Amino acid sequence: MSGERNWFWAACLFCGLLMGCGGSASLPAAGGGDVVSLPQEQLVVQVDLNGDEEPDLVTLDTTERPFMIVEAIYGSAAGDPVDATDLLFGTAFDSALSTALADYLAQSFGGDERMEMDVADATGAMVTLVVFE
Amino acid sequence: MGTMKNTLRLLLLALAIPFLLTSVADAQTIERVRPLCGTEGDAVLICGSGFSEEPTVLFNDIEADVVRNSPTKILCRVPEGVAVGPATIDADGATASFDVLEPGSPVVLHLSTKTMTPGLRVFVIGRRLGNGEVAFVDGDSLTVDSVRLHGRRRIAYFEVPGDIAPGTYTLLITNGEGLDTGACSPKVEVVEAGDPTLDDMQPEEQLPGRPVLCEGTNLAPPGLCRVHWTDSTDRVLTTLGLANGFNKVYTRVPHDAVAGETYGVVIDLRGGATTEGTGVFRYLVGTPPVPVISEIRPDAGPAGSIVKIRGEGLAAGFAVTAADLTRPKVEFGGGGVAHEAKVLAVIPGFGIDDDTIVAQVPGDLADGDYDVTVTTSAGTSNAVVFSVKDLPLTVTSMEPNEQGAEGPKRPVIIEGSGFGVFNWVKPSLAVTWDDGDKSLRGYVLFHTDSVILVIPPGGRFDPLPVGEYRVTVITNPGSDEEESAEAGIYTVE
Repeated sequence: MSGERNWFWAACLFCGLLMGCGGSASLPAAGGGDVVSLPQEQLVVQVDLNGDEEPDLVTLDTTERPFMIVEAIYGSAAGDPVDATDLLFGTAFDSALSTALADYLAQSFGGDERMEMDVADATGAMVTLVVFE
Repeated sequence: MGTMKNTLRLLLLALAIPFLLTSVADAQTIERVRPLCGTEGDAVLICGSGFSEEPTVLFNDIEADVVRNSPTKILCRVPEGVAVGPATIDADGATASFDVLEPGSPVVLHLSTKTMTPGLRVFVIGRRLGNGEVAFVDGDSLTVDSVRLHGRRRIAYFEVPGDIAPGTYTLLITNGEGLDTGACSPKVEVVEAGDPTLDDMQPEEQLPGRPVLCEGTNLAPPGLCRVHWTDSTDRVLTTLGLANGFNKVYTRVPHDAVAGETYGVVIDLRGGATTEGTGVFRYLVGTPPVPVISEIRPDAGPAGSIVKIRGEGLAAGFAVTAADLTRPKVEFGGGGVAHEAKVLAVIPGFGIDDDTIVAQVPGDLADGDYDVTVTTSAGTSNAVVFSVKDLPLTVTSMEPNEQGAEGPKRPVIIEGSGFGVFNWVKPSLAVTWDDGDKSLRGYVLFHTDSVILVIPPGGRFDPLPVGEYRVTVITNPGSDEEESAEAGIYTVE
């Protein structure tokens, strides 16, 4: 188990994993911690992608480093969502956010309906990410 | 004689109790399966208790691949070959129902709201969604109305029909391939629209800058809104909120709210609707504790390295909305000068664990001892000493030191010192696997001065051949300053 604790500690230290890392109950048991084969190859997160303060929904391919955008639906003040997938498909997601999310996945079993975390992005600015599935 | 018999019975009962309790504690139970349906290869989370270290999960007697497990959770995949239709999941002997859908069928994982009003836009997160159709099916299995589903495979949205009658409906979602959610179609409640209300806030007390959930009704439209916090002197603070379209608004206590003060809270929704007309919710802002550092790890390393500071009250007042004002300040003091460190992450412990701050030692510090302090809105912590110095390259452990022929199960963690500061652009550290003939580099995910996270060469796609490998850590590879240290022998079986 000490190895698992080290893994947990190192992952938190490395990448600034925020919530979800707090209790030992969430630690993977022996044989867990499979970061190479993530539980979900795709992850849906909510984050302001285009800097307009409106939360956007993004699907990320978690087998790429950094994660790659495969779907993007912009929220808009006017109300109608804007499908920006054709514009953004294949582009890299923020590297620091990707690393934090990779560590969340490495520690998590998934299945959280909504998990909010605050992470420093590649520029050092704090960003709120909501992880769905 | 009767007394003796009773005593004997009591004694036997007393002896039996621990065994009874143990057997109860060890019994496997499944409390929840999420999602309740899926197709071959879909990830399924089983929550319960008493699962073994190496659990066996069967779907109709076909063994599933377990991705990750703990005593209370098993993440597995629907195995190949299991027949479409109702299935029984057996996890270490505990059972639960599941529905195996036709390959390509959509699965709903999350709806932005399950209570909705006519005309409301609802977001769906799931699997294999795409452009399709959403049918509102009533209790008699009749399709009352249907609308278009817009979106992509994982994210989609639809609008509730404007003229649909209130009631309980099953949402039958059909994707672009013509396959539907079948037995796993979510149930929703359609209600008449009304005036927005704010009925509750959770948790009951929260610190400035921390998340808080507002619960009510008719909190539409979905998306950004504003939450106004009025104190006893009528000063109004405003935070941004995110409405789900009906019963929830996610927001934060204002970072500059006064601890211990009660605020009147009103939600100002986009389009002009407000909860003020149905009442003002009274909310008590919590008092943050003065921060106390319990440890800093590691307690020595070069300038620019990463440290983890643990303690109580370190995350108090932390907020994203005004990061410069409210992020805890970490300072390295020495020679009468305080050098501010870059805070990379703040991990609240929520009273269950210590708070944690991940910070980067200022890059311009000269070698020497520094007093590290954390300052939050509640005050400045005690000081702990950190020594800035280059540490010799050493390796103290490598774990795991073996993998199966199918490839690594997880990254290898190498601990020691002198690994240097991680450079995203120009890597300054390599880890090699040498079988005597050739030397292959691993994929270094990240490292600090004291820990390396590395995936062995080939990963799971092209794993190393069976054999023994000498693992070596090399700093500044290819330069005049190159140094190396052996991490140990890595076995592929």
